[in-house]
Amino acid sequence: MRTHLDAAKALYGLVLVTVLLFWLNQDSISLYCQQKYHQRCELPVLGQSPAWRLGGDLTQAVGAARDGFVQSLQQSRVEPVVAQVETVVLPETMPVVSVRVDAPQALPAAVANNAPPAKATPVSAVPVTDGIASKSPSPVVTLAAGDEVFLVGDSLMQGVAPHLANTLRKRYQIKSVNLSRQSTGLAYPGFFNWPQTVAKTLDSAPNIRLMVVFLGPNDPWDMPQGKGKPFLRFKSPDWEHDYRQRIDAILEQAREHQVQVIWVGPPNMRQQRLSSAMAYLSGLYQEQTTLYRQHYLSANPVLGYRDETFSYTLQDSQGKRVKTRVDDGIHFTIAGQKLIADQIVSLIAFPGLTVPGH
Amino acid sequence: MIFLYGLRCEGWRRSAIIATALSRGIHASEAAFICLRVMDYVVSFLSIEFGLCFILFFIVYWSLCWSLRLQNALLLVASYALVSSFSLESLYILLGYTELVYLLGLVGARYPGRRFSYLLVVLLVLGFFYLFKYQEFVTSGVQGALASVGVAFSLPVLQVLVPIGLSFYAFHSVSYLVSINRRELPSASPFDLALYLAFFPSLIAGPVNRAIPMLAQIRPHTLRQVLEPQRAMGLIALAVVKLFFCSAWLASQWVDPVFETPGSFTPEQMLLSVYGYSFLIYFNFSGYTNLVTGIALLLGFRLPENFNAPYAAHNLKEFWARWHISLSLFIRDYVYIPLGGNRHGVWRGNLNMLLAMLISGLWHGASLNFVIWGALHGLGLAVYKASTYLLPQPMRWPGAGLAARLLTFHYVAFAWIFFRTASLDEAMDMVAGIADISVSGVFSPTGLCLLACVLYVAVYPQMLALLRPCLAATTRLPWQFHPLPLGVFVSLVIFASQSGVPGFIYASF
Repeated sequence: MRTHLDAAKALYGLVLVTVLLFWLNQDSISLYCQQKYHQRCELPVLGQSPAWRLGGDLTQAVGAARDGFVQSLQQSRVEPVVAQVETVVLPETMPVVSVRVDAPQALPAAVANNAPPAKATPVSAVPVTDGIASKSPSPVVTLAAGDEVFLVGDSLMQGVAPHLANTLRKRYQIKSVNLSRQSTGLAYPGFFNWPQTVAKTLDSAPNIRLMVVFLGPNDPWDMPQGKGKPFLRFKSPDWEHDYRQRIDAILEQAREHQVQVIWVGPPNMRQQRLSSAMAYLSGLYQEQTTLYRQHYLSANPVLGYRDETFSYTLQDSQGKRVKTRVDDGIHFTIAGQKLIADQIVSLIAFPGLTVPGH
Repeated sequence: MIFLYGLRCEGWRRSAIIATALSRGIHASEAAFICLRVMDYVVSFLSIEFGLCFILFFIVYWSLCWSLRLQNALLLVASYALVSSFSLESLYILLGYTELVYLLGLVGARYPGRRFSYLLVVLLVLGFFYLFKYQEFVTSGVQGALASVGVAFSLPVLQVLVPIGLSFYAFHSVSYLVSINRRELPSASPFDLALYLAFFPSLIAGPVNRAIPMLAQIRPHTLRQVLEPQRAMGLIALAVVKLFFCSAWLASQWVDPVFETPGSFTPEQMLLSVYGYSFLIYFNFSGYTNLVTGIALLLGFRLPENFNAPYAAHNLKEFWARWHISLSLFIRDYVYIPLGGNRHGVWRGNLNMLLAMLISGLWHGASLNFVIWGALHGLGLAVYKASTYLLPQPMRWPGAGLAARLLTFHYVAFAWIFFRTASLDEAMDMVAGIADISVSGVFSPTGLCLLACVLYVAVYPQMLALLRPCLAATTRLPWQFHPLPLGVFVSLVIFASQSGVPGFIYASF
């Protein structure tokens, strides 16, 4: 009897804390649920009641108060600096020089700015071709001293980014801005909004001249299109239309800031369903990237995959098999990460930048 | 409660541990399990899903409180379900391992203390460790060594996955089998043994349990009770503070960016990232221990203590009596003492200590860096021991205690560099970078942060003396009201934290 009573008291505590947390964090939880389970996550009946909504509103209000506080604090700290900068006008009047001198496909910035891309016709599925990657790729983008590289993506990119950033810095003293984060993609802007993040980052970091994008595995799901509306079905024309728009939004930002783009298409995956979804998404990335006259790199040939094959290992030049994928059949081993990073670096030309120690 | 991961999206950077694990290429089913939605079948103790399931489990579990047998059955089913959520292979391996341990337990009970009984235990543990954890490390090391003397030789490598929790249940089994061989324990029933090895709160990342106290709790003389429910919930809330707030913030602000591309940062920032990582790994691992200790208390189990303010230690010996205590005691009792301990003179004693620390390092992961980390601690302990002959202990001059603590902290932090980096080159990059530190660099905003870190370590014992009574006071609130301030407090912590949740570093080991 006493045991039951003690357990009941503990249960009371657990339930009360849980309800309180759900009440206050309902918006976040609903977003999380949407992002993870790909469906609307609203509590029936209770979800609409004003008393329940109050919890979410409270958190929102506190969040807004915090943001306002931080913003006004930052403004008051930034103001004197801005005033100083305004008196020093020299750097502002320097002309922006496009560094894409040897990229044959790239248009001059001015032309590119005036020419919006043709509207793409939706396709249901696009077979992935080997893209521009080959055994000995020639550089397609160019970086000069002082340029920076911006790394965008999910956990695939999180693995590749450190190798890429290290190589760029050690060999060419090129800095990178790595914002890759797991569980992100383009399908759930409520959870994480890449087009917006790209826009903000490019605005605030004017030295970025190259953006490398590598994402996809978080996206092959039905996606929300707004409050109260049904989810868009994956691969449906509307889904594809929205998804292409988000790719375009990123590419458009790059064009506006005269930033070159290497878009890396995700490789085949162990799971057949995910793998074919990646092939489909890769098709979209490749088409939109080509429309914007930017550069697409499929990860498949880098890992030695042809068509729809998948393998955990790759035979290297000495005939030794190297493990490139970890057991989940999605992510890369360090060897795999390095292969992809090296391939990306091989697409970049660094005229005038010496390689220390080489 | 034990959930809320990935809740808020704005202002969040990256979750430290997954990235660490991924960039190290550590087994995905252990490390990357909360990364991608495509792996959403996997359970994390810090997920909303786990929180809700736990409440349901709690109701069923305590409604069966009249039968220990049923409660144990439920615990075993839940533990196996957790293992299989990582991978079915992990479950099969655990089942096979349990069977072998049961058989060896019978052998040990029949021929206690015989040499071959112990030999079988060693073979079992080393065999499983080699097969599932160290194959690649050993074969590539041996092949490399042979190649350097001109012998080309290829050892077979079986492609197998690292089963979740192997590092811990293998140690649990050692404690069980050695206790039987020492006649301290009769062999357990297969059912009890299975639960002892698979008990889910401590399966994934410890603490390292001992057979005698744990089996006594699996088969207690009286019915089980919820233990200290308010303290249990307080521990879980503390875990949220340490994991969501402290370690996630440190990872994204100070640690991860620097360790990933050390050369892009100033020497001061690199030093700050090492300080940051030292705090991070403490918050992360001790937070995780608080979490599972709280969960176990709610289920009527007491897990061994694992942390006791490690950075308040005055020397390395004391550090290991305060850091991952259950592991240190295990290494002492089952590695150091069987090797001979300090019974055969000073040199042999130090050699044994070095060996024990190397094994401890290797246990943390199959890489050279972990071995170096273990060796650094082994050497540090030997040097400390030597110093006690020269300097009378305890030292009484003013400031000696503070100097000793700061020195110990800095040595431990230095060793963490090897623990955090994936390769020796990366570690040396960090060390070389920090060596460039200049006096002028210290007078910068980063320098202020460095000073704050040192001050934090300096006043750490005083802070603990203030904090501990506050934590204890919260458990004295009436049970009817206790959940309200607790819930509001946890909400505030989540509100103040960045979103995205750190995993727990030790899941990878």
